[in-house]
Amino acid sequence: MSAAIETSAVGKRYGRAWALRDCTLTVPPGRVVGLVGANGAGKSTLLHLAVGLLRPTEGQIAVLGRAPGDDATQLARVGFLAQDVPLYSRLSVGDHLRLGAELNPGWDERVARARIDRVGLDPSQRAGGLSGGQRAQLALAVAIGKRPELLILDEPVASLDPLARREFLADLMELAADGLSIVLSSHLLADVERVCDHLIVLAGGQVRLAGDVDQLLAAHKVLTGPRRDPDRQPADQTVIQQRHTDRQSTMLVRTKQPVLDPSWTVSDVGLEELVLAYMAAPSAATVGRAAAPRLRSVT
Amino acid sequence: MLWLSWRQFRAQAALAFGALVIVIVALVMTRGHVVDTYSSAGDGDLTGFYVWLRLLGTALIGLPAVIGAFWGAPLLTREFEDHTHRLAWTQSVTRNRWLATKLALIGAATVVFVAVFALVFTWWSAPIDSTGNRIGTANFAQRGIVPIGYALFGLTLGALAGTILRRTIPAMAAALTGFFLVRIVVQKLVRPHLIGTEAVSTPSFGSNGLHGWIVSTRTVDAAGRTISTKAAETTLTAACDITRATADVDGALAACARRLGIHDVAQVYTSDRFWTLQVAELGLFIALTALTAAVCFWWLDNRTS
Repeated sequence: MSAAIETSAVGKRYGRAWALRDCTLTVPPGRVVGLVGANGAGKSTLLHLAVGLLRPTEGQIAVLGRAPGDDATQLARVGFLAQDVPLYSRLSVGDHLRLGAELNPGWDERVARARIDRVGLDPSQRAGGLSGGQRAQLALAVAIGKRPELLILDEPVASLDPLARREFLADLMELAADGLSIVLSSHLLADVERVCDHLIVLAGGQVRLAGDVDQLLAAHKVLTGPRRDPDRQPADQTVIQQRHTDRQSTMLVRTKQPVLDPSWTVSDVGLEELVLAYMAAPSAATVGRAAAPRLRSVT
Repeated sequence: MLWLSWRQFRAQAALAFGALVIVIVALVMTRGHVVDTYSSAGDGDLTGFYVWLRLLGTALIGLPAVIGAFWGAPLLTREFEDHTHRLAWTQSVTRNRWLATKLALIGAATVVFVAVFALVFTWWSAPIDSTGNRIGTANFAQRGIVPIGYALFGLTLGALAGTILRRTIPAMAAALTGFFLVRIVVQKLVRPHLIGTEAVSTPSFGSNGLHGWIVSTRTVDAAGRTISTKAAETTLTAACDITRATADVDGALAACARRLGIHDVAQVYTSDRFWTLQVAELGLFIALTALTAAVCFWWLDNRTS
């Protein structure tokens, strides 16, 4: 089974500014993958490249083993929910389903209709009058109705209230359980933690961290103990982030081995803490590279 | 795809064709009066309401630009502004097919709309034209089939402006300006050479008696060299002793010119070449339409992604 998304040194430039550069990553299939990063990290650009709305300035990108975009067959394999859920505000809910049916040869009316019914959308209502949650549900129904192999969502829940967000994410998890590959971008880490089993952290257009959530959490430890120099850490421990007071040092380290030094108090790391550490870390701390972060004292 | 195009276009189409029906009914009902006015003795002059109807010809000249601004420009800018292109272009339809379907539908509506309007107006104006000059610049663009070419070009130019500028108001402005610029350039610089004018010799300093569009006139001497009117006058006044005191200066000049072999050569499109010129200019604008559409497709495929 080919990767959901595979990029090799892909870059996209708008005018003189690079939105994404030298980005190499593999998004595994059959998962719910969270793409995390600050605003402007290149998440939307990467997703737009994956659905064929954009073409890379340099490098390669393959989605489900093929170049994204230009032919109808490939377009049919990927469902997309763009940021802010664009809909035709003067078209009704029913019109949007008709749109899906007319524009997608593989359209499954039953599936789309069932979603609309379940969330209680009136087919005769205009899309312009829907709430944020209803808009997202309608867009999801259209995206699911085309029966994609991969569903890509760009900040799907950013504009939803907490209740609508919870319902929407529950629906996504249900779809994933049916075997749909899902990639979603978000800067809301709590949501990512709830639904994603694979995580990719993007910063400055570069991948900072990628892996299965379980493995990432298992491979990182928070060490607390008397103040010391991070350069004296064992070679198998990579320091991702560190805080020092006069007496105490706290370090987030990546290690495959158990931490044996008895002077450390070792604790597990939360996903949010982990992601924030990688987003803030200098790029040298990226996975698979030697890390040499500077010592920053906090007194 | 055709369904979506129609669904998005049908309100505008209903408005436009509703207005067209009113115009056509008005023209059909009033033609009898136009025939009477121009067939009975006298020069025939329309008054009151009929003057307004005659101004529909001027509306016909502006119509292609309006189609470009209101049907062409928003074709893409509305999608860009609402971000709905991200919905439309991620269904199982390539954006080339998306654009092709939209342009085909709105293009077909444009052809029907403008063809009906222009041909009915040409028929309505026929009594007026029989005494006037429809190949001249004043009437040529509001008769026959050229309005169809103008309108198709206006439409694709508007779509192209929208594709490049991505915002409605600037695209509308660009479509209007660009359209009239091209129209004026064609009328002033291209149409005079489009099917080749005929050179007709006419007497200098008198009525030339020509019917049609006189594109240019020059004065030549007996040897066939082009001379300026002032030089001709100087030569003639000296040769035939014409002074301010001469009784009929113009008549004397004309007679003297005939004697010396000085005459005018006019480059003319005669009235009977109206349809030939119409077909040629329609062809030119269809070519411009194809070119603009090609650039639009190219831009959408290469510069919008």
